Amino acid sequence: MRITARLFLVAGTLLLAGLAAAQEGGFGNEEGITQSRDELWLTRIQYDSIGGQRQAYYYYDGRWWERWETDFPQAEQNFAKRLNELTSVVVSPVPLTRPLTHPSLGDSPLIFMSDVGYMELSRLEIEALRTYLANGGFLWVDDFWGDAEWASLERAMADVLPGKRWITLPIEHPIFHTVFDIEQMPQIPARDYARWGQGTTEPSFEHRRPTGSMKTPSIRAYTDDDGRLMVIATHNTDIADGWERESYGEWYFENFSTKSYRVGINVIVYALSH
Amino acid sequence: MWFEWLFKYPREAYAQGELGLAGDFGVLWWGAAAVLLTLGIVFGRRAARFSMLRRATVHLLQIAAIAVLLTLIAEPVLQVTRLAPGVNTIAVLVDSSASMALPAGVDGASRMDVAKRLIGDEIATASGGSTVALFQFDDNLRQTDAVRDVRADGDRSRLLESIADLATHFDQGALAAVIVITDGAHNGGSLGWESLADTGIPVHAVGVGQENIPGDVELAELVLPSRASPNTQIAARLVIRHSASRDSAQEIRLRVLDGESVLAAESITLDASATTVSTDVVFPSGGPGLKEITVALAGPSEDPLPGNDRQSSLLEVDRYRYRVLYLEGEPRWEFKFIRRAAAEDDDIELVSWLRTTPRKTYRQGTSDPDELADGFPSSLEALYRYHMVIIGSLPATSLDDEEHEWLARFVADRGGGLLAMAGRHALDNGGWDVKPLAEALPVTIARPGTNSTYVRGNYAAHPTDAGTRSVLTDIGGSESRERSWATLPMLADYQTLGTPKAGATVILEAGGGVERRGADVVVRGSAAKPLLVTQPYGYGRTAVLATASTWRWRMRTPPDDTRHSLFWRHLIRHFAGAAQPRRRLSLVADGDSLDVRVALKNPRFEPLTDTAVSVQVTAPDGESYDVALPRIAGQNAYGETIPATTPGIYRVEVAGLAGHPAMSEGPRPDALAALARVGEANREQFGAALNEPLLRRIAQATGGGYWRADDLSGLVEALAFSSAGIHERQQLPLWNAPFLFLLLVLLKCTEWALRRYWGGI
Repeated sequence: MRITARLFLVAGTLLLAGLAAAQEGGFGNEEGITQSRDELWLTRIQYDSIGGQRQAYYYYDGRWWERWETDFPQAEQNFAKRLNELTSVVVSPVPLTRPLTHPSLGDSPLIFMSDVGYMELSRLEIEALRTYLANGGFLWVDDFWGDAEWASLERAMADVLPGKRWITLPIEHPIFHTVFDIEQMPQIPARDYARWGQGTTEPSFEHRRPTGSMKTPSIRAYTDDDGRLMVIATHNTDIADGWERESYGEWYFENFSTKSYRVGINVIVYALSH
Repeated sequence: MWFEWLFKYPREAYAQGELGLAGDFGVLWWGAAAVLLTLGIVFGRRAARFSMLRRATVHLLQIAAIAVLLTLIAEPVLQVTRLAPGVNTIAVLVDSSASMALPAGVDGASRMDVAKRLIGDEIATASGGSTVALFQFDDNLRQTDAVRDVRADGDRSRLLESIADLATHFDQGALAAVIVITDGAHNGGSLGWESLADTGIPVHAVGVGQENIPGDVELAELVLPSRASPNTQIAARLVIRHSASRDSAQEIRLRVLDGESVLAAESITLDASATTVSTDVVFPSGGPGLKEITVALAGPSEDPLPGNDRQSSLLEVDRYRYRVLYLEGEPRWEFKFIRRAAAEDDDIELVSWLRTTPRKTYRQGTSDPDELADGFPSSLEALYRYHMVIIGSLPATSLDDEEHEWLARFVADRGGGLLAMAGRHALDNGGWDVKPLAEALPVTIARPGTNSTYVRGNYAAHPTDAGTRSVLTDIGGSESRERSWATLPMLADYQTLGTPKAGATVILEAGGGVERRGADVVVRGSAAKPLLVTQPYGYGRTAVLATASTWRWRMRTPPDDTRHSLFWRHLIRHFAGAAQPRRRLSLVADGDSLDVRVALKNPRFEPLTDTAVSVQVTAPDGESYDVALPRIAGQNAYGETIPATTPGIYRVEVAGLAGHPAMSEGPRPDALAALARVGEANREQFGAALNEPLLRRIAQATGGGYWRADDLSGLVEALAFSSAGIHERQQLPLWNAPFLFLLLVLLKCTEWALRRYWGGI
C-alpha cells in the first residue's frame, strides 16, 4: 500500500511537471524552442499597468486580476476549441503567456493584448515589440474603451513605431472577409453589461476617463510599407469576452459569442495569410 | 596475341567466319559411334567393382578424346570471306586541326608527327593488297596526295561530319574500311556518333595524344541562362578538367567578369579525386542590358594551353515575371512567411489558394475574379500559365485523377517547377504516393501509415556538399555560406522522407537535436536526414522540403536578416525558371554560319507545325534582313542555316508567325529573340586531350576497332577481314590449330590422373 502510494505520488509529480511544461509551451531546449510543429499558439502578452486598485488591477469574481490577464485563459481556451472545430487552422488547446521581452516571442507570430487602458511599456519591451513587428509579427489589442484608454495605447505604440499613423479599417477591408463576411463591426460588452433590451456600450465608470463616446466599435490598425496589417486594435468592444462567456446563456451566445468568433476567426486567418 | 597462337587465326576471322568440316566421313561417324558404345560396355564389365559414377566419368573422357581425333580426321576448317586483293580501297583520314600540333607525349614528337609516321609505316603495311587513299580533315574533308604536305593548322575538327562525308561520297572503287588518325577533339558540327553506323563502313580509329595533358587546367563548359532578371543572383554551371595529381593538389582562382568588372571570385582546389569537376558559381546579374559574362580561371603559370582557361557567354538582363501557384490546405505560419518572402521580389507573382475551413477557401494574388474560382486551375491551359506550383499541407484527394495527371505533365512537358512541402496532410501523410505525380517527386513516397511521419523537433538545416555549390543555398550576403547556415535558428518540425531517387540531389540536410514522436518519446542526437531534395523531371524540376518551419528563420532573427527571404526567392526563381517558353528560338554560331531553330507550342504545349515562320537577322554592322524558316523534316521545328561572315554579335528575332496571332501575347512578347557571337577564338585549345571514349564509340558503332598509336599489331588482320568492300571466300584449315592438340592431351592426362587416383580402373 505504501509502495502504491509512493507510485501515485511520483506519477502525480511527473504529471504536474508535464502540465507545467505544457503551460510553458512544451519541451524546450537550449535554444528555447517551445512550440510544436507549426501549430498556432494563442499567446497572451503580460505587461505592466500604472495605478492602483481598479486601474492596474481589479477585484472580480472572487479574486484580484491584473489588467493583462482579463478574460485569460478561458477566452483563449474557448477560442482555440472553436478554431479547431470551425476552421482548418490547427490550434494548440493550451494558451501561452509571454512578456514582450521573452526570448521565444518570435515563436508566436500572433500575440494578443487585452485591457490596455493603463498599460505602460518599458524601454526593453518597446524595443522587443518593435523588433517583433518588423519581423512580421502581428499584434491584436482588444477590450479597451473610450478616449483616455485609446490615448494610452496610442502613446505606447508611438514609442514602438514612431511616425506610424493609425487608420480605421473600412468594412470593405479583407480582414472583414477572409472567412466570414462581416457587414458591421460588432460591439461586444462584458457579460455583466449585456442585458436584453439595453445597449451594448459598457458604462463609462468602468473605464479610464475621459471616455468620450464609446458607442462606435472599430478596428484601427498600423500597416507596414506594403499595406499589410501589423497591429490591429479592436476599440470600444471586448471581443475576447464573447469567447470567454460563450457558455453563460443561449441569448448571450447567439447575440455576442457568435459575432466574437466571426471577428476572431477572420483576424486569425488574416494574420496567418498576410 | 595468345588468341591467334592458340586458334591459329585472329579473332576477326572467327567473328566473321563459320566452322565446318572439309572431309565427308558420314559412314565413319556411325561406325565410330558403334565402336565407342561397344568399348563402353566392355569397359563397364571389366571395371564392375567400381562405382557407376567413376566408370561413367572415365568413359566420357575416352569418348571425348576419340571424338577429337575423329574431328581432326574430318579436316576442320574456318570458312571466311577476306578482302580480295587489288580491288579494294582503304581510306586514311588524318586530322589536320591545330590540336594535332600539340605534343603526343612520345619522345617530344607532335601528334601530327606520330600520324605521319604511322601512315608511312604500319598503315602502309596493314593495307595489304588494298589501295590507300589519303585524306585530311579539319573544318572540311579533302583528299591529299602526300602525307608530308599535311599541316596541323585547321581551326576546328569536324571529325564525325568528315567520316560521314567520306562514306557517303566516296567513289574511287570499293571502300573496304576507313582509318582515322586523330586526337578525337571533335568541336564542330552537330552530327551524333550513332549516325555513323548507317554508313556500313568499318571505321578504325587510331588515337594519338594524351588523355591528360600535364599541367593543363581547362574550363571545359560554361552554362549560363540566356536571360536573367535585374539585380538577382545567377548561377553559372562550370565544368573544369584538369590533370592535377593526388600528390600535387592545386588551388586555382576563379573569377566572373562583366567586361573588366569582377562580379564574383572564389578559389577551387583541384586534386586527382576527380579530373573533371562540376561546380556552380553565383554572381549578381546587375542592371538591365546585354552583357558578355566571362568566367576565367587563373591556373598554373606553366599551363600548356592558356587559351582554354576562360569562356564567355551572352546574358541578357531583363525583367521577367515568375507566376507561382501555391496550394495550401491549412492556414499556417509557413504559408504567411512564404508569401511575405515572395512579396519582396518584384519578379515573383504568387497566387495562392488556401483552404480556411473544410468548405471555404481564400484566394490571394489572383489577376482576375475567375482565377482559381473552382479551386485548382480548371484546364491544362490555365495550369500552364504558372511557372511553378507549391503544394503545402493538402491531401492528395483534394485533386482528382485528371488534375494529378496535369500536375505531372506540368513538370514534364511544360517544364514547370513543383515543390512539395511537409505538413500534417503532406507527402505520405496526405496520400501523395499516387501516380503519376509520385514518379515526378525526387523521393519515394510511402503509402500512408497509421503514424504520422510529420514530427515536432529541433533540427538544424545545413547544406550538403552538393548543396554548398547550389544557388539554392546562397543566402548569406557577405558572410560565408557555411556560417550563414550554421547561425540560422533551428527548425521546429520535420517530415520523414522516403529514399532519394537515383537522379535526385540532396541540397539540404536536417541535423538532429531533439525530436519528439507522439507524446512521450524523445530521441536525442539523431543523424542528418534529407531536408531539401531536388531532381530534374522531364523539362522541369521537382523538390521536396521536409519542414514547414522555415518561418522561424524570419521571426527569430533581426529584422534586417534576409536569409529567409533569399532562401525562398532563390528557390522560386530556380524552379520557376526552368519553365519552358511556348516559343523557343535557339541560335548557335557554327563557324561562318548561324544555325537558327524555332519551336512553337500551343497553350497545351503541343507542337505547332502549321505556321510560317520568318526571322529578322541583325548583323554586327547593323544591317538587317529577313529569312524564311522552313519546317525541318521529321521535326517539330523550323530552321535554317544562315551565312554569318562578319565577326561579332548577331541578333535574330522572329519577325512573323502567320496563322497564330495569339503567339505574340503573353508575359514575354519579346521571347523570340536571341543573340550569338560569331568568330570564336581558341576553339582548338578546348577539349584538346585525347578523346578515347569518343573514338571507341565510333569504332564500336561502325564495326571497326580502336587502336592506340603505339600498338597497331592487330590492324592487319582487322583490315583483311573487314566487312565492307569486295571479298573472296576462303577455307582456312584448322587441323593443325594448337588448341585441338592441347585439348586431346588434356583429356588423356585427366583420364590417366583419375585412374591413378581411384586405384587403377
